Parts: sequence; C-alpha cells; structure tokens
Amino acid sequence: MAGPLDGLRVLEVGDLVGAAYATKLLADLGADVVKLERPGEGDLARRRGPFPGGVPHPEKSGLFLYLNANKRGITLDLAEPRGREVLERLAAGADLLVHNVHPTAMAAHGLDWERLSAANPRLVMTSVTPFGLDGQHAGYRGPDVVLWSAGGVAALNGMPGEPDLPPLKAFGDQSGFQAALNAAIGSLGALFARLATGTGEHVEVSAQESVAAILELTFEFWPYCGLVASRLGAKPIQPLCSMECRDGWIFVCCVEEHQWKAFVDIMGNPEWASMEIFENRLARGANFDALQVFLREWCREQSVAELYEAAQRRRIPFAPVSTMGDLLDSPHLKARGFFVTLEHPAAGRVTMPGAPYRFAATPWALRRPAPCLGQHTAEVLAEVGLDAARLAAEGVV
Amino acid sequence: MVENFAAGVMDRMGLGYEVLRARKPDLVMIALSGYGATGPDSDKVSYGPAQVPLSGLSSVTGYRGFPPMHVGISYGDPTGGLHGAVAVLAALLHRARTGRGQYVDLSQWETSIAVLPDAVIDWTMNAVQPPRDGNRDAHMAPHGVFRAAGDDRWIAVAAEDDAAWRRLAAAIGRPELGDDPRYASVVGRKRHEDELEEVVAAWTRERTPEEATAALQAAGVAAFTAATNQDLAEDPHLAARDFFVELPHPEVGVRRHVGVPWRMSASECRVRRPAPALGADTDTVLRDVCGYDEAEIAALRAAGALA
Repeated sequence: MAGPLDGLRVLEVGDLVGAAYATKLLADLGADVVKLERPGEGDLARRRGPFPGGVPHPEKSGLFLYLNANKRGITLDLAEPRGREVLERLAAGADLLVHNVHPTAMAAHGLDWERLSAANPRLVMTSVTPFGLDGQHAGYRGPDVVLWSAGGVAALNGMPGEPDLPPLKAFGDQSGFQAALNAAIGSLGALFARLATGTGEHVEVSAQESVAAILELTFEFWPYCGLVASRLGAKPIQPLCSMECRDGWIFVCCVEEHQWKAFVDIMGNPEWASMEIFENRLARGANFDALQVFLREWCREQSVAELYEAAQRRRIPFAPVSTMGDLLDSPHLKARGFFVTLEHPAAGRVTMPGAPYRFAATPWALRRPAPCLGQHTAEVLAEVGLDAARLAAEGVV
Repeated sequence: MVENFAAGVMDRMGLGYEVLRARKPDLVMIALSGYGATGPDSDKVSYGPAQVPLSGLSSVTGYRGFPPMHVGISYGDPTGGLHGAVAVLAALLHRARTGRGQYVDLSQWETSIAVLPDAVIDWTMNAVQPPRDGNRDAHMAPHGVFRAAGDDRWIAVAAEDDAAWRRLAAAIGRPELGDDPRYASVVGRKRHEDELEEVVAAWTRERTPEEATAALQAAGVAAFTAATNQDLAEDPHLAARDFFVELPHPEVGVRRHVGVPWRMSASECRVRRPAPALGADTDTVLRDVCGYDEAEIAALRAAGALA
C-alpha cells in the first residue's frame, strides 16, 4: 500500500544521526531516499555498532541498519569535481536534499545552495549543523556530549547530593535525533510552502538550538525569576523520581494532589503521610529528604509490576524503569507490532524499533533493509543517464 | 485536529475521528497518547517525565555504578510532539496530493523508544543491556564533561578521532601525549581513559568554560560549556542569530523565550504572537471560524459552554 510521501525524491548526504534520521522518517512514509556515501568507508555509523557479537563490520552496524532501512545507497566522492557534477545531476531531479556536512566543508562537497537551486528551483535543501550556518560559533564542532551540553540539558541532569559528579548526558546521540526531527519538520514545511509558491528554499537546523528548544520551563527560570536551574537543586514538586523495589525500579509520579492521595491509599494510609511537612506537592518537594526515606522503605518491599498496575488502576502515571529486555517482552508493544525484524544479506535477521505512529490510510512500512555500501550505485546513476562503470573507472563512485 | 488526551477520551466525549470526519471528510487528525490508541496498555495514563524511565532511556543513562537516572527534562513530550509534527505534515502533503485526510495514532512510548535504536539492537542482537557509563563513549576518548574554573562550572570536551586527540593534546600544552604511541588509537586511549581525563581536567579547571571553549574550538577540538539557562539566555551567538523570541504579553510583559530551531530562506519562520491568555480568542474564533453570530455566542456563554 502507498505511503503518504510516495513519489517524493530525496537525496541524503549524511553521517551518523543528524541527517539520516530525518530522511529515515521520510523513507518510512514512502519517500524514495537515495543515500550518498563516501567510497571506501561510507557513513561513520557503519563503524559505530552495536555489532553482532561485538565484532565490528561495516555492513552489520545496528545503528546504521536502523537509520538507513528503506533507502537506496550509492557511493560518490564529493571531494572530486566529477563527483560534485554527479551530485548536481542527481539534485536536478530531486525534491529534497538533506545533509549534515559541517558548514566549513559544505562548499568543498558541492553543497552550494545558490548553484543547486539555480539548476533546480523546486529543490528544497536542508542543512543540519551543530551551531548553525552563521554567527560566531558556526565553525564550532561537536558530537552529542558537546551539543547536549551546549543546548543546556546536560547541566540539568545530576545527583543533588553529589556535586562532584559532572553534568550528565543522556544515552546515545539525542542531540542528533532532536536536530533530525526538526530537519524533517523544516523540510516538510518547505515542501508544503512549495505547493503554493512552486519554488524550494534552504532550511537550516542548529543542533544546539534543537536541544535548547526542549528545555521548556527550565529556560524560563532565568528570564522570569533570575534563577539558575541546576542539576543540584531540589525539584519543586515531589515525588517525581525513581524508587527501588524488590525486583527492579519504578518511576513514582505524583504531580497532582489526587495522585498523591491515591498513592497514600495504595500504601495503606501510613501515619507519616499525614504529617504537615508532606501536606501538599510543594511541601513534599521542600521536604523531599524526609519524604524519600519513608518512600524508599515502603517501595523496597514492593514488586514493580504490582505497584505499576495498582497505581495505573487509580490513574496515577507511574511507570517501570524498563530495561531493553522489558521492552522486547512487553505484551502491549507486541500487540501493536512495534518491533520489526528485517532480513539483511550480511547481518541476517535484525529486530529494531518500528512505526512510532500509525497512519490509518497510508501505513508506515519497511520495504527494504539498509543498503550495502554502493549497492544501488549503478541503478541510481542509470536513472539519471549516467554510466556507473565509467565513473568507477575514474574513481568517483 | 491535534489532541493529547488519554486514549479513548475524545470518543467518550462524542468527538472521535469518525464523528468529526462526518463533518469534514478530508480532516487530518492525530491523537498523541502515552501508550497509543490500541493494545492492552492503551488505557494506562502517562506523563512526559515518566516516558524517560518507561522507554528504557533511564536504564542506560547514569553514572557508572550508580542507579538509573532521569535526563533532567520531560523528554517524552518534545520527542512525541516532534514526531507528531512530522506525521501531520506528511498527512497534509498526502491530502494536498490526493484530497484524502486520515487519522494518525501516535504513542509517546513508541516515539521515545524510536530514538534508542543502539540500545534496543544491542539487546536484540547480543542480549546485552548497555551499561550506564556516565559521559563516556565506546568510540571516542577522552569524552566527557570536565570541571572548569568558577562555581560549579563545567565544559564538555571530546576527541572525536585520532587526529582530534593530537590537536587536543597540543591545545592543552601536552603535545608529547599526542605523539605517545600508547594513546595513538582510541583503543589505547580507552585503556588509559582515567589518566587522560585527569590530564584534560587539570587544564580545564584553570580556565573558565568560555575561555577553554574558545581555545579548544580554535584548535579544531569539539568542546562547549555545559550551559545553564542563564548561559543560554546570555549567549551572544544565539542572540546574533535571532534565536530568542521576545513578544509583549498582557500579564508577564516582554520576556525572553527560546525560538524556532530552524531557519527558512524564503518562508516566514518565526513566532508571531505570544501565548494567549485563557479564553482571549474565544469570541473571534467562534465568530470567524465557526460562523456564530453575537446572539449565539451569548447563548453559549449563558449555557456555561465557554466558561
């Protein structure tokens, strides 16, 4: 069945997550995405894993296989003038080009907006950058630990009683995923605008800004109250924290008064819960040191699954601290068919996250595994009238 | 139509997709719920902060040897919302091409797992639950957040590859370490990561994070202040890029807010108006969008439908 973006022609020049997840979102909804990789080594994600048995192999990286399923892949050396000519030929027939080549290297890789748009005025080009295309930090570089810090989230994560533990990044390349989501939105927005104008435009995404944009109220503590939000500070509202049970961890979440009252009921209305220092959510935040002693003692005796169900029956949004195994075993995620398994010629069967949303009329679908390096070079170049064998002889593909 | 009630609430109010579609056949509607509209857990309730543990992100985030951590923000909310915007725009482009609307069911839980593929696949491939390892990275070293001069000030520094390590060593006045064969490859640097982190920290703690960032980035080394909300609000780069939004609001006046994290060369791309005061636009929307006249609006108000 057709996807909502059927017929959309997309080019990607991407390493790791920033561009590749943006185009994955589009490919999974039907777009024809052609990924351009450097001859020889290809996308850096091919070296990142996880790998079966922990043994690196460029065709077996779980991260690469996830990010690049549903795409076709070609090799092209954009450092060579002939390679850049081929890029122009491909871009002339494309609706969208998404890349995360660093701003200081764009020109040398043929990612010249004026030139590409002159040849194809309908083209949309989206540049995913660490700090933006202009401004005094545009030349700065950074992997996730730097960008998650630069965007202000790392400074919010730590343990209040441990001032010598540094601001903590989240697992994985979360700044890359956030930038990629914004790149997909900006790209689709530009394609929507093109319906009216007939012309494309250049979209620029800053990963630092993408992270800063999810700070929500924590940013506003400074302009509104002159307060610096710190990983060492007390949370205003409690309990909103993970607690250890006898068989794992649970996230205890009582944001509203009725949720707290229901939780106290689950705990059997212990006497301490009626103490004045716990009388409302702000008091519980201010006196969390005392509160957590009682909660720890009670939670230690509970089972995660039973407490989760008891809380949910009373409409309290508790959640287990899931391990990866818990997710794969979840009857709910199984019933929704969330995890999908792809058969890849080199890596074999790989199970990975699937559709994050369900379209009623035009389903999300996996049509093909991620490409092996250069797998579709001849096919894609033939579509624009080029002979891959000749280009290979020139060392361009 | 965008709604984020718990699954089933819109149906119970008589405002489900089938009802609304009868009035507007090409409607695009998205329901953003914690667990999704179907499945045995669909009647459970969820908040954005609870998605961090529920998705598995907490289980792989944390200091080595310490419990699972949160990430510091309500991460399930933006991750779910941004995926929702992608879905809606795709559905609207599809409608522009075909004339057909549709219903989209988004699960915040699933969108939160979608950004953890490396952890999920380590489990499905190898039955390995990735251990919590602070700010370290399997493929880069040194790679961390280091104490800088000042009161609780920190800087993130990463040597992305072997050449970046040599640049880092030179920039912190230890070029001999850049030439040391023990540290030439990431395997060697991972083996000696404790010592190398101490070398970097000895240099950063003598400098403010801003000084250290400027020196390291000038040398081609990835680094930046672990910015607080104050640092961001006062960041000259972000100000020069017009990132911030400052619009007059009747209750709070002009305050600085973060803006749109992308720019468009041709389309208007900015925050056009402040958040509305409660009910500020009730009458204009009822009149201009729904076509009610003043008497009908007054009747709705008298019936308590607007209060």
